[in-house]
Amino acid sequence: MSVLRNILGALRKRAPRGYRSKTPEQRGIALLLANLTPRQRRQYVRDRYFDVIGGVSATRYRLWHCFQQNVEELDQDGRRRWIWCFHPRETLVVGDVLLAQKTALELFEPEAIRVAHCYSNFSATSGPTSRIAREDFARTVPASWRRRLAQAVHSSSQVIMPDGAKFYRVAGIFVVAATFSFLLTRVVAIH
Amino acid sequence: MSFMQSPQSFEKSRERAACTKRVQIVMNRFGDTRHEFDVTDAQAVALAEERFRQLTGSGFRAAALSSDGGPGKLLNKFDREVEQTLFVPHLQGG
Repeated sequence: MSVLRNILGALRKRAPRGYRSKTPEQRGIALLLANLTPRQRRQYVRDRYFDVIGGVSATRYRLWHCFQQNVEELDQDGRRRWIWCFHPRETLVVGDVLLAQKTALELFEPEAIRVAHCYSNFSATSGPTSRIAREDFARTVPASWRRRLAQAVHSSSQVIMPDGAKFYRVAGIFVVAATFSFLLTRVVAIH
Repeated sequence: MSFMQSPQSFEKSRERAACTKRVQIVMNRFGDTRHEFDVTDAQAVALAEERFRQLTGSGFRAAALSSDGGPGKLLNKFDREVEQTLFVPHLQGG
């Protein structure tokens, strides 16, 4: 029953909305989400990135939730060509950084690319695929109902399921008991 | 003569008030700071124009945000008709 309550609670939990959000990070994300197209918003909440079309070159860029080395330039087949790194000179929250990058690529793309540094791969420790970036995304971005359901099921399954060693011990006892009872019924049947 | 506003005229006046509201959004480390002003208030408009000049003079780029999340418009000079102006700090490579 508590498991069901967990899942329902997680689904009911509302994400912070609009300017009333509490932390600067959440306010930045709210501002970003308010200025994305519905498609970009869905993509961002689901995949941790959204695609932007360059205002001058019509190149497709993929902006990942991260502070640095987070702008992927894609070719026509959707494969990575380069990774660009540019960001506002001031220290900003990640939502603002992404909105600044989106605005720059759409409205003054040549200037943004001129100041950007070019890389061939993401940084393992601080790039968009790093643990820090993933945890920051999970903490700041309002989760979709699918993600909340998956999290709730995962945490509930940990409550229901015993840890690995216990599970295998219980399963082993069950298999031995089943084998023993099967053999016993065979012996009884023969005699 | 009635002193009470009908619901329709009340709604209309509310809509009119909403139409005259403009906001300047400045990105900063606290998320953002919003400066709202009314286009019918000459003093507020002058203040907003001065803010625009100061921010763009110190390296911020001003963009008019679109309502649907699509590409906005780059602003080189103050436009009182723009509903939401976003100020993006100067960019650098990382």
